[in-house]
Amino acid sequence: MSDVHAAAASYAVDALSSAERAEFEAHLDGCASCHVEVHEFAETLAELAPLVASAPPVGLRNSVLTAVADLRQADLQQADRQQADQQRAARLAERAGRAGAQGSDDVPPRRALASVTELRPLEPHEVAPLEEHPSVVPEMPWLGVTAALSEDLGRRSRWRERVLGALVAASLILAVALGGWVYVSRQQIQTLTADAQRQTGLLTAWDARVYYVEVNVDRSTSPVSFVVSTARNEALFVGRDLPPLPANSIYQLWTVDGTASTSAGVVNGSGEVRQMLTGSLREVDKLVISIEPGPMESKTPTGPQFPVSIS
Amino acid sequence: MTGGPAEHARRTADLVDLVQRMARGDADAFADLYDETSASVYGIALSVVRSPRLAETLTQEVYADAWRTAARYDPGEVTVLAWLISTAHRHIVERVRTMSRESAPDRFSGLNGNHRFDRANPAGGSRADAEQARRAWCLLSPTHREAVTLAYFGGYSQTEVARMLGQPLGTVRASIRDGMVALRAATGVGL
Repeated sequence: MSDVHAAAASYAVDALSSAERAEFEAHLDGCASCHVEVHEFAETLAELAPLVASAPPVGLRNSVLTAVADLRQADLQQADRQQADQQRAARLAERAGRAGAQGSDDVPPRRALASVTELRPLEPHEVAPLEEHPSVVPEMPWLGVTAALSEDLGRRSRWRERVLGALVAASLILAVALGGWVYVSRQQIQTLTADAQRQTGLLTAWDARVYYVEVNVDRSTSPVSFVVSTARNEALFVGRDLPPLPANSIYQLWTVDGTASTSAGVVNGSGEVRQMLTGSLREVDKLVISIEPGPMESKTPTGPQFPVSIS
Repeated sequence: MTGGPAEHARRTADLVDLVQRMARGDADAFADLYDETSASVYGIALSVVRSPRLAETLTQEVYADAWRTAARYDPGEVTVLAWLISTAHRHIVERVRTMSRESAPDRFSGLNGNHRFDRANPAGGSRADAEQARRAWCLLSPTHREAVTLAYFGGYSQTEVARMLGQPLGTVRASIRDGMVALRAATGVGL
């Protein structure tokens, strides 16, 4: 076998100098066996990727998605759906251009949000659990670096679940305008649920809008938001540290059409709450969070109501 | 994740679908591709550059490039994973070779210890995939493993590898080749 054929493996692992590579590529064009071999080596190396696989920091996902929203593809296939998809990409790019142009002192009562472009990457301290864990940075023991690989598989597996959870949390995006502030939730979600996927879909919907209102109970105040996509016919309630209620009382969500209110579910949980509203948004002109006597959900709103008008 | 050939084939086909949708501008498909593959791409970047920050930057560049070039991906030639990982590795290596010791110090600091080539790091991916990779890796002779590690996971040119190991270039090139041929057989590629 001549020298130039023998370079296929070095070429596949990118170990050739630029001059050597140019020489091999000139040969590669006309050599079917080298062509096959290079592809097979590429497949082989892809199979080896798990040896060094390492979950990236959760914030990277948003950075990557935001960056490509601003890109046009180098070339597009002639597909029937091409035009619609191009329009979609253009909308994303447009929103990318608008990102950062928001001021915090002039917050309109409602505004479009929920494009990935309005998210900020997570700061390092927000992803601390990832960076603290030794297995996130590959140890590369074969390069003589400290080998702390004695962790048992069970521990790895649990960690993997946590990493997955962090990725899911990032995918939920959870950038919600609360009183004009965009915040990113760090809540760890353990499994990628259908609900989480719905929330992600809603938050990234092209027509998603955020409406917010302040919930006041006694002297305690908490801003809450509704993220609404008319196109998807879905809404998400987002609250954080809602004011405490008397025993048995509950927060309940409503969709309102004129004077008719339909329950959209009872708010569950404390701390950060994100909850899809049940029911349709067709003909709905208001979303309401109310305080109800509980413990069962009310048929119609009876207590204090905090409404937002949607359009 | 149970792994196994059927699961592997299904995943391979799913990735092709994602890239073809990306080629039509589907950002959701792109997000899915990222979720499926980013641990591999980031892991390779990290193994070559050895700096999390730099690895993040390179990973971002790799995905931006994948988005731009998705329409050029030909499923008849290679799998999506091979396409993505080979372009990623090429990009990472090209970038790192233009960097100095000052701009990528971690890359150089890791190579001062005594080299141990006996273990692989089975993190990420399905356990079955990781187990298969680890088995293939363990079948390599120490000489071949050393050459492939430095060239591929270290991102060094064969000339640099020869210098580091104190071996003639022809010997290193043969080690890389023999190592890759053995790994190809052990992973079942091309059968």
